[in-house]
Amino acid sequence: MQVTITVNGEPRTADVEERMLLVHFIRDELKLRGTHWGCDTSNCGTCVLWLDGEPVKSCTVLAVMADGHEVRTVEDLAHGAELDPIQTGFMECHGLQCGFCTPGMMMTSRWLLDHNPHPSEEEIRETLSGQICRCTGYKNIVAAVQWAADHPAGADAAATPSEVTA
Amino acid sequence: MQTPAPVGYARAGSVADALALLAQHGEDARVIAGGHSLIPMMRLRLARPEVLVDINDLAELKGIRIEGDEIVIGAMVRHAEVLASPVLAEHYAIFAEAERVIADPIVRNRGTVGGSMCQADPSEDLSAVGAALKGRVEVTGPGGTRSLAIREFHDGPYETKVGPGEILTTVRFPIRPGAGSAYEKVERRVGDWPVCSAGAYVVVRDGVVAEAGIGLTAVGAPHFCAPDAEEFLLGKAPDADTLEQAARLAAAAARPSADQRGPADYKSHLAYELTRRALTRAAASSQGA
Amino acid sequence: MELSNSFTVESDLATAWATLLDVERVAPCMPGASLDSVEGTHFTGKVKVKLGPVSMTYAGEADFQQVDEATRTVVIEGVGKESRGSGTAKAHVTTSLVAESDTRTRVEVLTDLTITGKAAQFGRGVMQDVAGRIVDQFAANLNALLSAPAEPAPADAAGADAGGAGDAGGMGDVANGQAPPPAPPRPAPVLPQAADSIDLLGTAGAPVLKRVLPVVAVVAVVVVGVVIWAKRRG
Repeated sequence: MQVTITVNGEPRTADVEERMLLVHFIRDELKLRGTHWGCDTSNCGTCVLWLDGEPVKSCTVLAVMADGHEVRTVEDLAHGAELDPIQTGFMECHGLQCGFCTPGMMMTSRWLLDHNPHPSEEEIRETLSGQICRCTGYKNIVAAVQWAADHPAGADAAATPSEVTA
Repeated sequence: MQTPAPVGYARAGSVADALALLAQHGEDARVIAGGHSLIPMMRLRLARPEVLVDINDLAELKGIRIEGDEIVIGAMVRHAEVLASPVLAEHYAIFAEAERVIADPIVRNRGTVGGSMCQADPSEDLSAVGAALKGRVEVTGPGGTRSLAIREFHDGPYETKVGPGEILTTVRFPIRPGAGSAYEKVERRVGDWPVCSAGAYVVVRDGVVAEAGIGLTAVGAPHFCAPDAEEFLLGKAPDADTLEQAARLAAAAARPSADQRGPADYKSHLAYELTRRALTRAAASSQGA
Repeated sequence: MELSNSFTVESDLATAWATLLDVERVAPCMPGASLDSVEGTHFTGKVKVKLGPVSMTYAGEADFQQVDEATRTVVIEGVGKESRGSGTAKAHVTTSLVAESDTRTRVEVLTDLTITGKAAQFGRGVMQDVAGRIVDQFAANLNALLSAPAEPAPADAAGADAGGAGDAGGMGDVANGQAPPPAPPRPAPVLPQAADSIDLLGTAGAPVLKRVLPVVAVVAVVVVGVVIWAKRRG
């Protein structure tokens, strides 16, 4: 059936099978490969994107359920060449190694900071608790989110390594 | 990496519409709300409905409100909403305490109260909450709407009194002034089903227990509750010794099975200990502590 | 896993024994079961198990491995494979009869069940619960059949949904040994029942029909079921 989903501000229409998962619509129909597909069990969270402004696991939503709704993916974090503070934070604080979990981590973190600009470490960990990373041990992911909270305007020319608490 | 089998899809615009769609497609249709129980099963092809009836648009099923002396929660209310609800927090701490340990924050954005109740997993935390608070559910079908006690709602694992062609519409709880409540869960990791969970509410009046409700999940307690333990508490002061005895009675109601989450004796022990802790905090809260 | 059921029937030992050996009468007692063929002590068929959103059909065969008149013991071994999937189900069922009086017989059913495949994902606890409920329902249906062989069985005595909500008032009723109450007016649980009767009619012919009718056809809801079945076909 035909679905129209507003993705990153743009209405996108396609004819899809009813059984198609939203993650596959985004990746295979729209060729937006920033969102990943990781597990069979709705656990890992590497597929997290925003549906109507809230982070959801897109492997557990059917594309047809998102028909008429709004989706935001990791590709929308940067504004042209300007990175989102979350993205810069992940860079500055070595918040990724293989990068597989990173899009989902960033989308949830972005949502968190939009709603809670100065979260405690516990709040960051709790918000990300539904997502798994096999590389970093989470410490640097938390640091990345804290960095983004501390630098809401993004990469600061004056930022020095000593300001980075990694 | 698995994907669902081919399926049909229909989006309902109202409860009446949903019922009509269910009647039209019969036994092969399945209601989909949050989808976080159904879609994983469909991906593994454990569940193969022919048609999905999407009820996410049903405004009639949304919202948490007070109606007289009752709290009313619509079936489409998301777990995240229950967690964040100031209305629920005002009356029963057990809701937020349970929701904090149900699934994970992302899944809670989609999963619904109605969906979890109807999925009726034998380890469902909301079943223990509902049983503890002695709530009721309303089920609507072609024959009209009927009300059932949550303690009579389950027929067995994954089986409820919701018949084909019917949908659960609301969950209701009495408001009990002076009640304290609490929830305790042991899980292997975030997002996991409980090894055991216990929830309780207590109303202490004039130094003794006037009312109590105890819910247990994941340990095979019939109808997710411990009525003998509740009965025992009435009229007694909620001191440590009394609560321990009540907890022991609650554990006796449990019939846990050994599985990957633990051996049976461990689960029985948890049934005792978590009930004891939930009762202790609920009683303290009722007494204004 | 092992499951045991025990119940008494208002029937003398000889009659109960004769009925027990009658596959065409006993098979419909199995919730969700349909017989495809009967050849002496060997029979084939399907069992549909429904559990919440999960629905699985096992197709297979079974044998009367042992029929011991002296000890009034029947051993049936059945093996089935999932119709859509790779799971299997194997059941070793030992049924023994003991006379309690001239008019009352005790029936002991011991089931050894092995499940592989997707169903096993549910974990031992749930599987034991579900298997227990199926066997409880089977025992209740068998009880009804043996207690009143000339009368129609209660409405959902051959109810096909192992987990049909409200079909038999839930586990509690069955466990208490009460006859299941009449099925509530819900068309869906009846459908497999209609399929049962149609399978039997279609494959085994008139002799089966004669023996099956007292159990199945007199049941009021079957009429409804056949109508619904006809509508589905049309």
